[in-house]
Amino acid sequence: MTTSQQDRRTPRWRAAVALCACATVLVTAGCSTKANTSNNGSASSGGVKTGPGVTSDTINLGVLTDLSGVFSVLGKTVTQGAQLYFNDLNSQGGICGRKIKLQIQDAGYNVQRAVSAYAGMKDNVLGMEQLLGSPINAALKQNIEQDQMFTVPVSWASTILDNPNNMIVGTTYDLEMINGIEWLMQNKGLTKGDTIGHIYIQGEYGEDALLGSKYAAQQLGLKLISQQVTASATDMSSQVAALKNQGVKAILVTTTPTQTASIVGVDAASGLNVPVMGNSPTFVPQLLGTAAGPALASLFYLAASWQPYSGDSVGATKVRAEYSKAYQDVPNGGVDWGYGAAVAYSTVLKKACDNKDLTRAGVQAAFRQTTSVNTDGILPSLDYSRPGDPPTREALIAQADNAVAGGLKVVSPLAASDLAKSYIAPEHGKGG
Amino acid sequence: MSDPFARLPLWRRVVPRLGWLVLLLVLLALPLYVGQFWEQLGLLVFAAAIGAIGLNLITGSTGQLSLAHAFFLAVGAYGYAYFAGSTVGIGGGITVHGLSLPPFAAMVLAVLLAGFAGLLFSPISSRLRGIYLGLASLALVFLGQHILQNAETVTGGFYGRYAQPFSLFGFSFTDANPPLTVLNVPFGQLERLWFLGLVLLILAYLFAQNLLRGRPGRALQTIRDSEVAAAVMGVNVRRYKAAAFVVSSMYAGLGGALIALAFQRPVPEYFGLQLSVTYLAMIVIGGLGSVRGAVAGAAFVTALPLVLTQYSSSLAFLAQPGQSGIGPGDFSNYVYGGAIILVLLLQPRGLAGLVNAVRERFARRPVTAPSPPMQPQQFDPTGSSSSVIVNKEARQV
Repeated sequence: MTTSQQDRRTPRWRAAVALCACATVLVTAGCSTKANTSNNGSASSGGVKTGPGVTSDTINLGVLTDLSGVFSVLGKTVTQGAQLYFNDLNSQGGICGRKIKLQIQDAGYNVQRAVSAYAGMKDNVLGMEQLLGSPINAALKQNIEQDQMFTVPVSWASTILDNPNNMIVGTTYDLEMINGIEWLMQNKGLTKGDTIGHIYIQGEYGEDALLGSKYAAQQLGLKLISQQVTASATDMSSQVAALKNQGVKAILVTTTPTQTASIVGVDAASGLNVPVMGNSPTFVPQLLGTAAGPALASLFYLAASWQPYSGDSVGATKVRAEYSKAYQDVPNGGVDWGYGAAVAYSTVLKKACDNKDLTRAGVQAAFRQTTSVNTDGILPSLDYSRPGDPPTREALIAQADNAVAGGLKVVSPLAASDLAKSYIAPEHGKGG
Repeated sequence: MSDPFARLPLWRRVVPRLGWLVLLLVLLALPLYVGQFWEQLGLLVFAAAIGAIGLNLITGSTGQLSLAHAFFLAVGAYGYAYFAGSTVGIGGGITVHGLSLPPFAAMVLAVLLAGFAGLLFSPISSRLRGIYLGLASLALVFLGQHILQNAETVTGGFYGRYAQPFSLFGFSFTDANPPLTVLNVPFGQLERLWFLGLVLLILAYLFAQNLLRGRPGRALQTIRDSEVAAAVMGVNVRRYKAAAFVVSSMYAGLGGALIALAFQRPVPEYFGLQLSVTYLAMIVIGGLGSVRGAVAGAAFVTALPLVLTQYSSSLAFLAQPGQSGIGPGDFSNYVYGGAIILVLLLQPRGLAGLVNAVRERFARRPVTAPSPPMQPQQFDPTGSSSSVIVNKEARQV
């Protein structure tokens, strides 16, 4: 041990001891910034009861979306649609004299990132204006119920209707399919006794649509052959070949857009040439630029409960004008849905404002009092007064078309088929 | 050369220990200061660190490439949810079953169950090595996904199932029951779970350190360097490999149980192949074969994307949501990928190696440094090459 080492040790020693002492003092003194700062209780300002996320001039809403993962195309346009609406609303004065502010976080369709982002935002927002991703919705289900977080999931599975805090904007996958099958019967020459195929993804998305197709097939006297696939599969040749061997007259798809392109492509190339009917998430306009584009344009139809980007309603026309001015991205139906969902969410908030209660409990009460949401024709009127039932049973039929912006044109307007009206939703009577 | 510490000057013996003490104090005090985001983040880091220590035992120290870690994490998570949970109906017409055991017993059983699953796989894991074991273990991940999605009465299927909050001797790790306020800070679920995670991580860390510093550790490292040499020296190679796999699975089981508590509701989607790869990235970035490296790697890999996303609005060069350009999600992917490339190019011994390199600079006599540097060839995860055994214990023999 040399002298120089001895010398060197002293300041280090002191620094270490000082650091240690500091830490101890800080801890024991409890001079924490967190101490008793929680204000989850309801305060009153301007005669309106307020809770988390609401200040005297701002209402903060959470958006947990996907801007970098597998659903980033959808997540981005839905978010843009919501931003368009809230910008309009804020320029007109907002709600209850408060501007709406979106706290947007990108979870990249990753459960862990979503759980952590949710923990980071939950005390600063009134509710979740957008929660994208079925696994994310499932993982956060407990939290959302516990926190009474009023949430719009970007999902249309009837199973999420059992959560009283969830607001589905549009109809559910099963009802989309029922409406779609009846349209095929009336317009594509399907008759009683015919065979139809249904290719669907494992999980709530596919299985919910299958509930609808099974019901419709049974009621209409069709023979249904179902083929389950995993979300990661890309080549659908064997599934289509199997359906061809069974002599199907139409194919229903509840798949990813990539799988849709494969199915329609094989359908045309193998000479089967039967119409393909898909749920709303099965299509993105980018598909029309692929090799399957021509086949899609002649064979593919989509059942959805909101107007595509090319829609002719007042609302859709307005969205188109605003979007093309504000953004340069390739538009799709997500813009219209995002706009419509923002309208629906604001309708509930306005109701809560009328009730002078902008707390989470107040929003929840206002939600069940909302019997009609007017989106200027983008969506059918939505009724949220019956827990467990979808807010609408209407769907439109659109056809893939390269000539229009957004790649889809409406061939049959929003309407509920007879079968869709009599269908009993799987979560009927629950979710109260 | 019995105790290398004895030859060091006093400050070099004390400062590292003081460093640990300060780190411990900071970790103990953090829940008093930081918000829920950081608490949730810390909890996820603790869980990932325990899992990464486990993977490091089999892949880093024993040189056996395992891609099955996500499977064993899932066994731990769902094992806990099943043992602690009750029989209830969840959405979609599914009823999940459970044994309603006390949460502590459920956690112990979940760890044992993961170990048992590792044992069942050991006839394969003890015979194969390198890329062959990697492929065989890959099968477990897909098998696991299939079971998680379809065994709805146990796992809840696609929607996952609720994991009962932890409790110990009547003290519940939730927001209430009993309500607790420490130094004016209300101690809710996340604060309480933070301390649970911290204690479990410390125990897991000490156990792994002891294991690797003792006779089993030497045997495992010999197997990594050369199975033939190990066998010649009297190490029962197959038995040790099987045992390492079982211990590694139990670590994953504990990490999984903690993840279940952090999520409240584990979902199958999370436990896919990507999770296994993420854990491999943790131990590579941290430094293969080093326990503290595994912890550091777990913290880096887990925290980076979450923190970048959380504070993206403060980073001016990132695209704001809705606008075109590189958003925080994309950016964290680039940083993450870049970090792996940099580590492999510049510091193959990972974060642990980096710390050692810095320490060497200050050390007068590198030979007696607390952890001698390891040889680069140890970092071949397939464990096929080197026969040089360079570790502190081996040199002392």
